[in-house]
Amino acid sequence: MDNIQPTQSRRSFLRKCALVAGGSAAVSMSRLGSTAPAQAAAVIGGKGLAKLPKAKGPRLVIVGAGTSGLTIARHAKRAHPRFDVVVVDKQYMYCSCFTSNLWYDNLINLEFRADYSFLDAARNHNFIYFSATATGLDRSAHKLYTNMGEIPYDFLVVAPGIDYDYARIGVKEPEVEYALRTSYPGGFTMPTEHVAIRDKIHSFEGGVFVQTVPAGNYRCLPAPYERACMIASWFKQKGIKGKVLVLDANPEITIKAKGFHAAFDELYKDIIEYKPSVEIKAVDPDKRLIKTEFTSYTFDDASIYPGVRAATLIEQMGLLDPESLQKEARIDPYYYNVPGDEHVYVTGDARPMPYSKSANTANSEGAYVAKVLAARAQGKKIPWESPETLCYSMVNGSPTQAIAVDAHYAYDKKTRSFQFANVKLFEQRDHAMAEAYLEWAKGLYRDMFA
Amino acid sequence: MEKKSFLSLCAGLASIAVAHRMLAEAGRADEFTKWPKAMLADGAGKPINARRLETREALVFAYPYVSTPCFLINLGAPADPVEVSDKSGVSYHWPGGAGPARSVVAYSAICGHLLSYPSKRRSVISYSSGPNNFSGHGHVVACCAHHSAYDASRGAVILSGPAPQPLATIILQYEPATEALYATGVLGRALFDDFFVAYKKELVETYGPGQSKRMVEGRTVATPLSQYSDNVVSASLC
Repeated sequence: MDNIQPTQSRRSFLRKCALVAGGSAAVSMSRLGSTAPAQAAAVIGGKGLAKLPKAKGPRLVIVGAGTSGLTIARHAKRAHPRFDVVVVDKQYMYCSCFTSNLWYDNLINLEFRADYSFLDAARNHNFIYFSATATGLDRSAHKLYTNMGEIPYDFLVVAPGIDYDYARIGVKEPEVEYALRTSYPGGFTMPTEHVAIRDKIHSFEGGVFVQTVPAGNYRCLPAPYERACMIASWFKQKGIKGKVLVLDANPEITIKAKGFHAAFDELYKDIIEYKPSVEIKAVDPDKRLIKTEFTSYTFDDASIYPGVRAATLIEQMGLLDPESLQKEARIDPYYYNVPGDEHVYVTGDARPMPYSKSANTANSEGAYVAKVLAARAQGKKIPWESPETLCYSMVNGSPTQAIAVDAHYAYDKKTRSFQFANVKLFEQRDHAMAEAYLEWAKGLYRDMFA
Repeated sequence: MEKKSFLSLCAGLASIAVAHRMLAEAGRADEFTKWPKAMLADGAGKPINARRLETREALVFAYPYVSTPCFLINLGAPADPVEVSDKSGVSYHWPGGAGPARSVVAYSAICGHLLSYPSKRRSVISYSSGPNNFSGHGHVVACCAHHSAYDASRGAVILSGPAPQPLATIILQYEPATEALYATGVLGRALFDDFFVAYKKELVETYGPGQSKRMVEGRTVATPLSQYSDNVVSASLC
């Protein structure tokens, strides 16, 4: 494939890491040997034991039925059939965040993202799906607390994903935060945000639509740029006199920059306006105004993607790394367990390693963590494996054309952090990549549910 | 020529059943499954001529079920037998190429990673005689959904990507008198059970209720992938 530029991607990655406020994303090896953080006070929920079948083997409890949790559930059971796996999630229905941008341009229907049942996953992969909200953790007693009762565990995986951090765009008042969450959602946590954003796009009648891009290691680096393309594609096809204003906190498009710039310039020259290094200091949702230190931008509608942090559950469970600016967990970066506790693991987008917070990363990481758990349950050790970030971005809706990046990671002793390795970029947009993109997603759904 | 090839598999014995018995004796019977023999046919129902198989792209045929697709590949050069093993410890003897030049091989077209397969709508798994981008290897079957690449000239062993196991081999038998090719069994992990679970709804829709698990009987039509599938993502791309 043309345009393979690993060095560019590496620079991009380094830049991103630097942007995580002084490199918090770099996991310091010096902290690995330290003792476990203080045990958090248990948050009590429910009464007594959760009503579950008696464990038939070592109980592996997984909090979070997203890409990470479901991948681990399947592969841990396969790798070590004695595991008695329980997946706990508060969601009533699955709907993927990945491929949501394609839905905005009607390239896929909602079924493509949501026609998957937790019950089918549980039946096909021999685990228990427990619909409950995790409320606390007592690591000394090996108990997970939920609103449906306590669940004793032998191994616990916490994979709760991300939450937003509005303070990072200068929003401190709850009133403003909730006005933004409701009226201009980021579209990277709850599926209900995707519905709201699609409604905005499809009912847009003209003017300026703002898409912001946060700093730091935010979820799915290329997604805000892909979304800008999909919105612009919609405007173009429907003849809507609209502009997509991309306000990027970063000095350059964070990944696949060449491919996105080419799409912006060649496909959406009069529609997308890209502005780098826009550090948002405040947002006024009533006046539809975004303020920076020197200027302000007005908009007719928007998706405002604030800063990203690990899900608050990490903090509530006492798993937070107090030095983490994105409030991520403190874990062994190779084996994912809480330091000093080989019974508790944190995976997926709540991890502190500066890996891409994206589906393929969580899926490949999940397959590896499943092997770690299976090995440890049998008193064995396995070598570290890098996750893989294979990430497609649709840049054209008619005809469908996509770009992609495929990368692994390696620990760099000089910078004492993980960096991209074996990077391959596919920045020449084409239809074949778009076809591969759809099948890529279907493959992940199959791994989780079928 | 083909007889030599077949001999290399069966150590001089001329039937797959015997080969199976030999594998069983070697303690590796699980890796080989004999299925009803099926002649590979063209669109008119005539035997595919092993001498005239093209080398640029794979042909798709169903075997052993009407819904399980396989690739028929002419490597354009002889393929020697090799020992195949995967990450989970499965190992078996791959018999090498069949046909007059020992250059014809066949594999399950169900990716060993996440089960992508060629359908009428789309195929992201295909064969490339020339070098593939990721592995840098020619004679490669690659699935561009997640970039798994397999060496078609060496039992579809993994060259690169996330696949945990090789593609299953379809054992071919060549009949020199008619120059016809027959599929006779499957060597390696075929993933048919996983395939039927993963695609149950899709298979019912495509083949009708209860039809997708019918066995191929007598003959199976081999169609060039570019005709079989409306959108082929070239293996050279990924």
